[in-house]
Amino acid sequence: MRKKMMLITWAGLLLFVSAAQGFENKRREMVARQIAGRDVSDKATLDAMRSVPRHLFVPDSQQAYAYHDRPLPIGYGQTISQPYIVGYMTQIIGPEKGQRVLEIGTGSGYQAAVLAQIVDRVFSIEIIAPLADQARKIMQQLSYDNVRIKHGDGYYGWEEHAPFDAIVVTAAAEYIPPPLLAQLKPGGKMVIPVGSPFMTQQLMLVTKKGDDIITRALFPVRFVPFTRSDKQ
Amino acid sequence: MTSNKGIFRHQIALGLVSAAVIGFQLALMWYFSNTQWSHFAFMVISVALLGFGASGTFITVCRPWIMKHSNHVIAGAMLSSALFMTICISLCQWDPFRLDAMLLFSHPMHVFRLSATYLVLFLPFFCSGLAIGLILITHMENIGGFYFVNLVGSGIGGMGTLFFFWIFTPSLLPGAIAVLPFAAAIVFGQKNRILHIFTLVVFGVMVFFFIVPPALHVSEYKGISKTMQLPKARIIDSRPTPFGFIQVVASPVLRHAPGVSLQFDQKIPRVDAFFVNGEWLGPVFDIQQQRMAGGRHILDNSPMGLAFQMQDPKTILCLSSGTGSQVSQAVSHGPDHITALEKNPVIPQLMHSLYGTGSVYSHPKVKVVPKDDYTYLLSSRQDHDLIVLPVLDAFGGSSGLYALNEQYHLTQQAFARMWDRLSDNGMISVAAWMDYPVRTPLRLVATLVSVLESNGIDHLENHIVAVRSWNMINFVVKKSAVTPQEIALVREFALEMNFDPVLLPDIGKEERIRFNKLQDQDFFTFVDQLMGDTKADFIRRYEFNIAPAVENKPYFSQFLKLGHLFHLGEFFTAASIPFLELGYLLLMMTFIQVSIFAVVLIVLPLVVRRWEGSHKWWTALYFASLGLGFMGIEMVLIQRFVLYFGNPLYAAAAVISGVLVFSGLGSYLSSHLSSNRRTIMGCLLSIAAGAIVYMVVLTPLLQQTIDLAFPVKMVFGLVFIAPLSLLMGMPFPLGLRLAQRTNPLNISWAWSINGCCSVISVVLATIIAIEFGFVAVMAAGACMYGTAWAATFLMSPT
Repeated sequence: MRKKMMLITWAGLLLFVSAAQGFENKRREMVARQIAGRDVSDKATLDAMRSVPRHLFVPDSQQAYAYHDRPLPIGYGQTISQPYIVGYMTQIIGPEKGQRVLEIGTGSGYQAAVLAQIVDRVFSIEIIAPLADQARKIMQQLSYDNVRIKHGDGYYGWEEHAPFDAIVVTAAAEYIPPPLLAQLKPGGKMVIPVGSPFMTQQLMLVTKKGDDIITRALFPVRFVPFTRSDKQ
Repeated sequence: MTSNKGIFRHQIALGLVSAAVIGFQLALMWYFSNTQWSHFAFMVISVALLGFGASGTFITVCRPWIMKHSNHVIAGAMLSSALFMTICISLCQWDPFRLDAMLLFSHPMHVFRLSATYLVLFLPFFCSGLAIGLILITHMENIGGFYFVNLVGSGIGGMGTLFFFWIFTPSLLPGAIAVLPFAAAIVFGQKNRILHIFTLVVFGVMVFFFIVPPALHVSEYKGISKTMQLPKARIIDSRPTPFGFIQVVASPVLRHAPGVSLQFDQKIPRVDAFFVNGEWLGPVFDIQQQRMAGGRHILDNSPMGLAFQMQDPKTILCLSSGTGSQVSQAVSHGPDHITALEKNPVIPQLMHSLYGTGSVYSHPKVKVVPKDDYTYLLSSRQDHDLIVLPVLDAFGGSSGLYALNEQYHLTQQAFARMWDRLSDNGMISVAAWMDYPVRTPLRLVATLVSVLESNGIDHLENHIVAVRSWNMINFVVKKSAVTPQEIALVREFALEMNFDPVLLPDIGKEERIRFNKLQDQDFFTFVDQLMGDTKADFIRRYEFNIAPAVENKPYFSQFLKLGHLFHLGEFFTAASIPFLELGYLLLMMTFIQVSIFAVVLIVLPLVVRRWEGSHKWWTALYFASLGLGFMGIEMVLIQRFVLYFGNPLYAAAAVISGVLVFSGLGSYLSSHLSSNRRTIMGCLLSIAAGAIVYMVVLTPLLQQTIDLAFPVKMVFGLVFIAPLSLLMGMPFPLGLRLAQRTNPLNISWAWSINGCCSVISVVLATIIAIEFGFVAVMAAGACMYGTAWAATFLMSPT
């Protein structure tokens, strides 16, 4: 009887380890093909994306697709961004040790986790309570002590922890809330997507330069980034 | 032989089921437009409508058994139809079947769900078609009268459902309509124990669903669903109306400031928001707080403030004013008079009842006109200092979701009328969201340039001004040349707001990207080409269709060039195409699906029964042509009258019921005619000739009479519709009678062919309208009647 129990436990362990290894392999492949294979070259970003277990940030029903080159639904009309977008948005704000970053729209928490691998502190605000709770749980589970998640209205930013070196807005908006711009350090960067995650998206980079605020349209992306200028 | 009383009962039952089919179709369209998106609704329902054609195939394949038990089958089909109409919404919302159109292209599971939805919706149409088809087939001796009842029943069903739209919510309406086939089964009356038990079961199910109605599960990606996720979001009012299901949402964190300047440092105002069929219609700005602390309206801090920066207009016309956000901006500038056009009369009424004097439409200087923009422009003689259009497209691009919407107010002709209605220094102001790949702003430039050119303006650059923020561009077209003082004001505005001028008489290259840099300079190159001599060549070469929309093809948001589809695939990767121009692709997908299914349904009887009966070619050609031609012509008539009445609801109601009732009369009259080749050919030739005459004279005649009073226009419209519709009701019953004499086995097959081709026709007519215009649809309709005429040569003269 004991032998049988041992055998079952051993088999279970084997399955668990091979599943975990499977995800790790997929993650490495994801970074090699979808992130580094395109134009994300920042080492810190690539390392971070290699280490964050993306499959734990998606609903169970979506785990099989966690490392696919596309956004996935996480419920409440929200999505976890395509891995490439997460990588690109991380790289574009130039994350470094010692920085504090504000994220508007925690969603699954994946972007915050990737940022947390690089910068000192990540403050993330989610307006949908169950998503905020879920993200908080997973951060705890994965021991991301440098991420703080708040359920609330992202419009006001997070005054008591401002100013921020960078702000990542994960959901498109018709306007950028004035308090967010006020909480961005001079020279700080804000990145924001425009458009629906399932359709054509374009990333915008907002930079504070003195009294002026400069925006730059980055390349448009969807499941696969458009390579318009390359092919012209 | 059925007694007179029996015939009457059968006719009543036929009328009820016919009314139910049209009503159910409209109810489903309404339901899916609410829970998903209207183009998707069009696809799902088109495929499901093939159930009608499939019923004919079924009768043909199983004819001996069905004809033997025809009355029981008819009653059973009516009851089944009532059952499926009642439960179909709940089935579609059942978790394993629940579909989300947004995930269709990315999640294979939703392809299965789509198939399940097709099947669920197919069943009620199949059962209704079976009942109607069998009643017609079993009353061939009196087909004219029965077909009359069928058409009039359909007309009444369409009208009646529009009335029901005021009463029932989208999830309740299909179940409410199920009462009609149930009543039909009772009236039809069959003494059979199994049918009696079935009647009780269906009744029980109907009562159950009346007490416990299905909930409305809206896609979580629709605007209303996302807004309802906001803290303390609540629906403060909702109204089912034939213009759509209106919902008003309030939340303490709901704010609206489209394209507001990044220099804007004040609080963005909280608003309530209106949704129609689950999609954002607009915010409600409190008229009492129209100016922010800085003395400006919130929209004056966006590119939409450009026109007011240049001038102080005294008379303003706001097109498609919706919830009046731009009207509220106009009011804040203190003009003498504002005319706001909003074709949905419920919105101003609802705003007044919810906000009283806080509603912008209650302001003494605002006059609301419940008319379509283009109809108003065609009939109005009043001049304005400023004409304001609503922001074009959706934020971030709509990916072609509005591609099939007819937007007459954005046609070249509409802009030409706006130009005519400007005072000497008047301006047209129109904003668009920046999209990628850039389409909307370019089509707008192409349209504005063509209007200026047609008015003999040589120096275009002196009449168009545009500024751009990080996400929005606003164009102002001025009737007189822009003055140096106005140019200075535009520059001052742009500098203050961190916007960049795009078009100004003496613009510099660097000035265009001072604050908002683009990925490359292509956008400016494109705009300059459209403003220059190479316009035509550029429009021809551009990957997307950006030629100005015209009245004959009023699809401003349709950018896909079919010929460039594969090239686009190479350019942006094939996987991206559905996400660039989804609407038109859904239409093409619908066409392919219905065509394949229709061919299978039409050919199946020939294969299964190894049918070697006579007159197959005539039957196929004749009834296919009628199915294709009838709907095509009806669609053009509806389109023309939408413009004429200025209100899609009146137009649809008047034209659909007018065409069906007059066609029904035609069918009734046809029973007094001999069904010989000569009569049929004469009838078909008259329709084809009539369609060609209508093609030429209808638009000018309607435009000449567009400013008549509404009741006069209604009479005038029905007089227009009557002759052609009357004739169009004759060929089908005449053809069936001819088939009855030559080969009765062909009758149910003819029913199948006609049903399938009618479905194809609606989809095909939309494609033809987009590619070639409505005139071409009318011409194609005439050709189809011509084909039916030619097919008649396959019959013997007697």
